[in-house]
Amino acid sequence: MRKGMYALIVSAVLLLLLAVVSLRVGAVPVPLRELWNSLTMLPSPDSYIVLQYRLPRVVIALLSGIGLAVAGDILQSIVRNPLASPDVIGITKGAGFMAAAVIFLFPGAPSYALPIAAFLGAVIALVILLLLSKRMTLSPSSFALVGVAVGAVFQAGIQYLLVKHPSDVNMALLWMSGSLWGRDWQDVLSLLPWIAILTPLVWLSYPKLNVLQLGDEGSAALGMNVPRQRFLLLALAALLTGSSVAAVGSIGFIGLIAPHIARLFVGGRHQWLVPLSALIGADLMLLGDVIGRILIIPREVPVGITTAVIGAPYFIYLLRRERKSV
Amino acid sequence: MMTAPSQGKQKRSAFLLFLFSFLLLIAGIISSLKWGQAAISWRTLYEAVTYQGNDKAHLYIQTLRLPRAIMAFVVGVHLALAGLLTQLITRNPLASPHIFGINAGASFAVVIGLVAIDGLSLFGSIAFAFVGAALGALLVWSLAGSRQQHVRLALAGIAVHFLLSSLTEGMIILNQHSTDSILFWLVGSLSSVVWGDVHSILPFTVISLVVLIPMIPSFRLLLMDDAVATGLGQRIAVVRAVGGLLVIALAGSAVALCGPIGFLCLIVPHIARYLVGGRLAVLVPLTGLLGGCMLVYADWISKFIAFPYESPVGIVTAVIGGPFFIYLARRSKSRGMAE
Repeated sequence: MRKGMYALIVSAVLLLLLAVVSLRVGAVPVPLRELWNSLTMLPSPDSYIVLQYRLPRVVIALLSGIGLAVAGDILQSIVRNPLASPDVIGITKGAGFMAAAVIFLFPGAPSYALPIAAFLGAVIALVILLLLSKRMTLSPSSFALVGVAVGAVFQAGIQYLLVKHPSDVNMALLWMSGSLWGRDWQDVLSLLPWIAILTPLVWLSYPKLNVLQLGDEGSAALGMNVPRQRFLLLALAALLTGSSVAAVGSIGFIGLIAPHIARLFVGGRHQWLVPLSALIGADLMLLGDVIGRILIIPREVPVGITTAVIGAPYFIYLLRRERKSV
Repeated sequence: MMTAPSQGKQKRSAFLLFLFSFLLLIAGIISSLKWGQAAISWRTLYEAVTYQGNDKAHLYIQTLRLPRAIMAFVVGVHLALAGLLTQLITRNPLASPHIFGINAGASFAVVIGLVAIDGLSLFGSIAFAFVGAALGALLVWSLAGSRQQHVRLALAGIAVHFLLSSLTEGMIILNQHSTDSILFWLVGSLSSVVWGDVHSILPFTVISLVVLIPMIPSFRLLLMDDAVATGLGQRIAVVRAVGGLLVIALAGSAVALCGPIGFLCLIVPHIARYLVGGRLAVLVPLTGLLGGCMLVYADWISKFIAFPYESPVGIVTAVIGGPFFIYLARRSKSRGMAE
């Protein structure tokens, strides 16, 4: 797997570069030397900005990029459809709905309530999907269609809250399109354990993911308890999505595109696909954030929007290409 | 196959259906005129619609509630017919302008128009909506592929929907003035309708119906099975193209004026088809009538769910339509149509 190795190395190097760029640019540019000084705890005029403001932001971007990309990878393998992703099947909308409910209905709630609510929302969306899918087997096609509808109903709920409480609209909109603005170490701490535990778990189940791609009959013939494995993997995907969305808001397209790009390099072998999607997801998230911050200084374009703008044309290209090859 | 009922019986039951839905419509319009934020007595209502009184209450009905009820009916007709045509063209029971990216495309274009051009005129926004609707539909169509599998279509549609709506959100966030009104419009709302809106949508209604009605026999081609239809060659492509243009005209003008009201276009054709089957000569008018009827009621309900504040009618239709979509998806799955 030379190609996989190269791809992994390149995306890791890219990640490092993007992280450095992301620490440097913004409303206050930080020179490389000062950056180095602040990171190595030497005295520097910029160390407060770098350590308290930009570094946690970079870490959050990285972790949530990993979470969303890995969740997307799981979903695409399970649904066996390249268009599936956490936002498409309604999990992100569930998280968004609960978060919006907290923002609007309990404006005095402490800040840690928001991620918890988003997390619960993702789980609720998954449970609804499970209950509605035929005999709880989560067969891929009904799962995808039901997910689309569940997402639409949650979206209606979000819009109801938005329209009923126009005073907090901007805050909610910002959160819902996904933004890394104002994240601190507290947020890092509440996201890190989830990603650090769940991602290796997903990677360890790569044989199951590989088999599930063969289709239900094929997997069953190989001795797999398909509904059960599918449920476990889906639960992992929902937890990853829930924790990431809780940290950064409902950022779309990362979960859709990162696994796609990774698949171009390593095909359907999940022992490579899972780590590569994770790295590419982190890359894309950082790239989106950097672009969002330098586009209209000193204002910020939310990262959810820049990722959509970067990702969408690529997504369309991929789909068209794939259509020809099928 | 059902045993075909005799011709006379069929006609009579269709007639009864039309009569019933017409009465339902009248009842809906009267209710939406009578009950709302302000209490109106029956007497005032009668005087207002016959243009006898000049009170504040009379004016209230004449300039606010009446155009709104009529608009709800017209937009309902537009959306339901657009939905029926989409389902006919694609032969896909889950297709609708909403799934097809038409609503999202139109709203994206209209928001661009509102942000870029100060004081965009009504016809300007309709033009933007048409362009956006056409682009959205083309995008989804090209992504979903010619074989039109249900799952692929739904996923492609929703992916495009997400793309366009996050771009729309971005524009709203970056242009914070007029956020509230755009947001309200984006969910689909009839609350600010005035007579001017009714006047600007009616030409599109008339033109679309004038094109649609003579085409009904040709649309029968689309009900045939693939092999037969292909055997008929060129004509089916033309019929599809005209149908597509009609969908864009119907849905685009509705979205431009009232925002993307979701799911109505999906549900109504199914209900109509359940009631009268595939006879297009009956199905098309009944779909239109039921669509108008349903939107009148949905709009009326939307006045009450956050009383005394207005809620966008799009929320009501989404909450009714989402579960219905799930029902359809599961049913078509059990019939083995999904993949």
